[in-house]
Amino acid sequence: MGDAELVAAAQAGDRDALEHLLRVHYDRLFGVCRRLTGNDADACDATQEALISLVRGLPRFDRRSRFTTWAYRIAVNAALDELRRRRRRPEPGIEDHLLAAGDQDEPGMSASRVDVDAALRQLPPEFRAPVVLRDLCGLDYAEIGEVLSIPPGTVRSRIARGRAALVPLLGGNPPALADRRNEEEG
Amino acid sequence: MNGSHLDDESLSAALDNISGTPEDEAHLAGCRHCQARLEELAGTAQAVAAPVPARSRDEVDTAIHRALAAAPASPALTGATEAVDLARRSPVRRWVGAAAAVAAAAVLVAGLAIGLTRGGKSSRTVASASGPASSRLEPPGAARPTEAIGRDLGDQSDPKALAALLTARLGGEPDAATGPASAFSPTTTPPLPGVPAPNTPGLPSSGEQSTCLSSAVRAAGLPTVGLDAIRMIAPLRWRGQPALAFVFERQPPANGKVGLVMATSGCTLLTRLPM
Repeated sequence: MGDAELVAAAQAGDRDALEHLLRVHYDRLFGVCRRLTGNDADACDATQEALISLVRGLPRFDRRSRFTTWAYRIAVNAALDELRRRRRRPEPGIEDHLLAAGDQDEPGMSASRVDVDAALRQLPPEFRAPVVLRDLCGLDYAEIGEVLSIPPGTVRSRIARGRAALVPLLGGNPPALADRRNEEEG
Repeated sequence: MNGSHLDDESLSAALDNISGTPEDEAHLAGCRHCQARLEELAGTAQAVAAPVPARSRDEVDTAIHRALAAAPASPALTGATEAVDLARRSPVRRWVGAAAAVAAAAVLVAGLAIGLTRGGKSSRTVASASGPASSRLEPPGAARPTEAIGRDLGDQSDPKALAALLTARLGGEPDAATGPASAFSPTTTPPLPGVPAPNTPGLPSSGEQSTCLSSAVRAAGLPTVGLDAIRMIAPLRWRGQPALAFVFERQPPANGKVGLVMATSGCTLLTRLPM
């Protein structure tokens, strides 16, 4: 069953369809939240909020846009809300990320993931979101414009500037930072 | 172009397979500087595109169940959209309100069927039996009690005559079919012929009766209705066939009433009434 059928069934009160819809889209919504917030804890909170908003808003979803577009919009808003809340809390620095990553995943994977998270966090959200929606989610400029409520020309410009800003941030050798900090502490 | 080279916006667009001008494409094909910059931008895109590690099944289950808990009931009688009168409420209140309407309507219809088949319960009994449940479930200000619920409309075959009868009842006037409302009592109401007793196999369950109400809402062309929009549900025999007459109040801005007759068996539309 595709999204359209699942949405129709869920709107008619079929909870199994609603649950299936949430399961189908959980990973991609979490992915957006993860890239936008930069850490697992905030991403989990944002994804949870997004799912709740999605469930509560589904009766009003008029199906004029694709469900995924609508769901991404909810996830982006939830992640940006989480970022606003996070500004009121102490934020871990890039070196904390690098050190914490040492215990997770496969070595290469964790390092590259932390690099990307740390680099993306340097971007203002208005640049981060279109880059993530394009490069992680594969949306085209028109869809991104719909999600973010900005014209496609602005999407194109922000993606270009966002990518350009990421080049120097991703071009160094971040693990060396962790090595240097270990040496300093050791 | 940025000076003698392509700017980042053109290169980024090229990365997304958006064609530039023929001049730009020709330049890119022969310019090592622009090709190198394109590779740098492509590197960032690849890094961002790296998959995010999936959450554990338990974490996903927990998140989904929490989200589902925010939707305690079916959003609407018929699904796709909501009643206008519910639209101004908060999401939670809207879902609860719709669920209350479904539950209360199911009680009304179930009570009606039981009262009719036993022949010993009047419409007033049905109305009062459903009253407490309704008042408990309905959102404030939603209920608009209808005295005429459950009164037998007798044998009918003319849509105009039936519409006039229903209009009169809604206006509180006595009618020839059953006499004035005050004359209606359990002892004077015979059981409907052809309607099975409550314990007889074939009597629609309350869920099926609720489904019949949903069918009527769909047949009326309404997106959905709140309990306050149900003005009347009354039994009759339509051209000899056991049936239910429904009258719904349209919600603003589309004012007016919608009346129809549904077959008791199969919940199919028998006729629309010119209300």
